[in-house]
Amino acid sequence: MFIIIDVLKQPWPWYVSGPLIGLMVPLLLILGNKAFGISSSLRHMCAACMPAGIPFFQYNWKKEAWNLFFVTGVLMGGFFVAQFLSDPAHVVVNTKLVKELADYGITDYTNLVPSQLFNWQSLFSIKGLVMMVGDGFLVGFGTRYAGGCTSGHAIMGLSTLQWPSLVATCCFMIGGFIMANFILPSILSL
Amino acid sequence: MEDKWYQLVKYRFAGVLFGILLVKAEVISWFRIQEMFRLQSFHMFGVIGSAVVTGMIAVLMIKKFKIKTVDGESIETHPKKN
Repeated sequence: MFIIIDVLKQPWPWYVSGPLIGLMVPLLLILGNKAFGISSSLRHMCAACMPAGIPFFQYNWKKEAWNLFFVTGVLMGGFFVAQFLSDPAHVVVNTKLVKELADYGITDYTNLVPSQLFNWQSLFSIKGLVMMVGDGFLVGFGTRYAGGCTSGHAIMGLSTLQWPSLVATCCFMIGGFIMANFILPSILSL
Repeated sequence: MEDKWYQLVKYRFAGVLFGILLVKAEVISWFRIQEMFRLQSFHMFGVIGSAVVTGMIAVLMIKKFKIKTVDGESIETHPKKN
């Protein structure tokens, strides 16, 4: 029993976690014909809380309530792992990255996000504001503009062989590549 | 059709499962994402790639064997709308 828990506590390799993530697609289809996706929940929340007469938010969001249950489940699952199934060792990344990030003062690998960048104090600095509020805005804008996020397009869309999803996924990768390599360094230097 | 709350609970469980996977696969780690876009690790590409392949095979099998939902509905995949 303890051996199993020890194995579960370690990070799972890609060839285990990847296929399991892929199985979310048939799971949701079989549970009730639902299309796997995360970011549409943002739209449903807006429609539920402040439709404000915007046509984009005028639809029966209650029909999509399953998605809100799913997304809150994701939060609970993440919380569960952090409390009971987390690895005491830190995330192990390429030494080149460790060296590069150290130049920006990022040395704490204990959390999923670097606590030296994302904390309450830095929320009141330009860098923190750009990274947290600016990022949040871009996530909200981008997922609606593309009609989906990595889950909806890359996993669900590609699984069902949809061209728009392939285009979206390629653009996500290009966007991420440009941001991480060319834009983020100047933000980190702020 | 609107689902009743007790029909929605199963999606909560599916979500919990997915949440556990996201953390254990480290795909929501800021460090892993930086590593991926700097092409310094195969991990993320492995996760996304194998997830897509698994999903594709699963959808193909659902169509081929005409697998139904737990409530007996036939499964349809709709094109993504913007």
